[in-house]
Amino acid sequence: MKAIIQVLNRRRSITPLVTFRITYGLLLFFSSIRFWYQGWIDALFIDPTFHFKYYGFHWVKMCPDYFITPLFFTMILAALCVALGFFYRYALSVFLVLFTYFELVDATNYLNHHYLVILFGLLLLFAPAHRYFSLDVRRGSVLSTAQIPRFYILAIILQIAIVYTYAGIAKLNSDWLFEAMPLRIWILEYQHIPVVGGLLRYTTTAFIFSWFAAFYDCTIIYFLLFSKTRKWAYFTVILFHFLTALFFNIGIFPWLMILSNLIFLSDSFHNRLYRLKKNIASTPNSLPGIRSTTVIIICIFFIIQLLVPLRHLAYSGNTMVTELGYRFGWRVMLLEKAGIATFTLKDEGTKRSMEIANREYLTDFQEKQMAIQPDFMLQFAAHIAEKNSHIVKSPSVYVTSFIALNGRVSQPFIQADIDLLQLDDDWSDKPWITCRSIP
Amino acid sequence: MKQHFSRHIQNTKGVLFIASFLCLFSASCTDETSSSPSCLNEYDLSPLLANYADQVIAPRYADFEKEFSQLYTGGSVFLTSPSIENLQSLRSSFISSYQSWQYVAPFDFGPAEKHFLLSTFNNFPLNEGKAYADAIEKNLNFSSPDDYNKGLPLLDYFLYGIGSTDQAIIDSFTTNPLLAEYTQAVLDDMKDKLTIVLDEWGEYRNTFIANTGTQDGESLSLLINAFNKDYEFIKRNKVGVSSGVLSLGFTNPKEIEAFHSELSTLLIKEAIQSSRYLFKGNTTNADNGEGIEEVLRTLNAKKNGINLADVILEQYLKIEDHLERVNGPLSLAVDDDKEDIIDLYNSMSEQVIYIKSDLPSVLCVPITYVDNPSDSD
Repeated sequence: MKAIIQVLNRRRSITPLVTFRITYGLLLFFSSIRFWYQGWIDALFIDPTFHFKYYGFHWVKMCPDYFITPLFFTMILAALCVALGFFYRYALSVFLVLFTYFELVDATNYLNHHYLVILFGLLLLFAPAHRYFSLDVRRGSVLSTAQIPRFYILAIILQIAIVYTYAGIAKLNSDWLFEAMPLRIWILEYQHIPVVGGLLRYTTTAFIFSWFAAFYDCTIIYFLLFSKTRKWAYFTVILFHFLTALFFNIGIFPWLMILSNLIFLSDSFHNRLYRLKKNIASTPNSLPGIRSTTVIIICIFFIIQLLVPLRHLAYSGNTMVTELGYRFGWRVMLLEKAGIATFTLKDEGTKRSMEIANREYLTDFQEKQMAIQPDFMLQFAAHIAEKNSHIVKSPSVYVTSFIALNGRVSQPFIQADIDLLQLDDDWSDKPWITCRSIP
Repeated sequence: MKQHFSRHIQNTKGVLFIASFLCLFSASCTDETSSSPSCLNEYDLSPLLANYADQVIAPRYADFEKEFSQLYTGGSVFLTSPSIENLQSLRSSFISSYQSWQYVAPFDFGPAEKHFLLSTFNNFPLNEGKAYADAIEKNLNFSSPDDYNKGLPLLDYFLYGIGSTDQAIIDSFTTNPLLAEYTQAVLDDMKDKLTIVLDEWGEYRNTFIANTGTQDGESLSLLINAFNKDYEFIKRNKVGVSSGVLSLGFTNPKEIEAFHSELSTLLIKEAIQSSRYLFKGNTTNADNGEGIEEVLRTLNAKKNGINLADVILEQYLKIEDHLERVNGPLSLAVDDDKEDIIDLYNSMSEQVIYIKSDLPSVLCVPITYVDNPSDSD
């Protein structure tokens, strides 16, 4: 243990970490402003009258409408303070709490890269990223430090490695590799782009993209780690993520990866950014080494992260179909999936029943997400029963549902003759999901 | 389990059939299986779009324009000199116009969507109280798509429902000139919107044919989305609401299309036929053009071993069979003929799976009226 800590304590320049802090803060500052500007606060938080929840987080309630904007504004300011290194740990804590809150209030809006933002934030919370080139140093609340234990940088690198590796493994499925699905569908949208646009209608193009993306995700981390290939690897990072930004509606994800991957570049590269002289960089610093408790906490953090994406193995069937263990697993851009779910509310007393118009309860976006996610269907069934409790005294709810994925005809999804109100959403398998594999 | 097994057998048969078919008629028979996704990657959509623009949409609009101009003229004649004869003549062109409308209702994209043609012509059920009050108060503003005080439903009410006998209806118009004024304004509103839409279609046609992509906002996607929206409108608004399936079995006999003229059942039949012809790419009964049906056949998309195009056409036939069993106007049938109406509705629901889920999926056309307000990943 001691030896390990000694290795992890070996000093590096603080500058890669500083770059990470600044780019993280700025990116979230701008992307939160964009989120607001796009009207998504209204569309995703205020317009819906009902919010889907994550398992175990049903207690996170949407705050009253008039709180939302001030909270969001605080979050944007906090992101800026993180970038500036101004009351760094407080700002980062405030940012993380608010960002996580806005994620938890409605599971409809789950995005892998928002989850990654939270994980990066948690790692930054431990790291002394404000010890250089920050307002905290300038105002004298902390001493400037040129060197830090390399542990902090390694932790971020490991986080990135987990993302890429699991994203890569997820792509090693027959639809991605042998059908070029769903890229075949998605690239069709960009046929009018000059020069390359004309090539996009060919299935071969989709195959090249699919294989390149799978290869990239599985291997890029090693090319970035190996100093001889690093420069070219980073160039590929820029190219790859720039292309995905061009082709897909994936928000900040490409920029998050391009910027966070800067952490692989050498100390001297980052030092140059801040005109940090080599002799200063090598002076002894005031920062104590990391403690074994920190290492243990971070280790547990990573062990959990290594296991969470694998939990789908505990369930029968294909997670791409059942969505059991799908979230938090770095399964990105894997599916073109659409469903139809028609709910019937029955009164067991009067034996009367009615078909539910989903749109009277959900936004279009929520309906679309609900129709492909079984846990949402249970939540929705309970919501329907509650909303109609004045006319239906002893309710039961049934759903007729179909899902179509990756360019195929649809399949029946959920057992149609089972009362959804009798089912619990927990971690056990959901045998009432009848469609288990890609047909 | 048994169902699974038999489907498996069907699938295998299907695969063998397609495989041998392909080996006979085409060079490649390597990786074709029934579960492989199809998509329109290398498919030329220009002939299809040209057919829809020139052989389906244009002639249907032309027909409707002809019917409507008779309705418009007949309206003016009746309103200036209300008589039994003029009323009967007006009613007959009202019926033909309402039937003809069913064939243009699905084109709710481009100019028609922009100018709210759908709500101008057929917002039902009419808010009778509001319509009457608007007539009396000379409130002649029809610009809101959310108002239910205009269009063909207004004529349905004024020409059939404003008095208990034909003479009483004529008397209403003669004693109250405000009704005539309002009716004329409603006719003018429809005429104006239709004229603008037809005008703009002249230019829009070229845009429509040139947008050969399959994605959001491009012509095929617009067409398939409009086709689906129209179908769901028929299912929900023309049948569902009145049938009681959405309201614990309590029927709503007044909440139907053409309540007073008792054309509801006829209009549903026309609307379903319109939908079927649209799927086939037909102008009239003659199967003359390349439609979505042909695309499905070319892609060889299968549902449980049967060609998806056949599944959809078969379902239309089932729906039409159920419709044949509905006697008289829907307002009575929803209570007198409950079972048949529920069967009809269920049969229509089944079709939604084929045309809203299966069809866009195999064509790789996104159903975009479910819009994504966020990023994805």
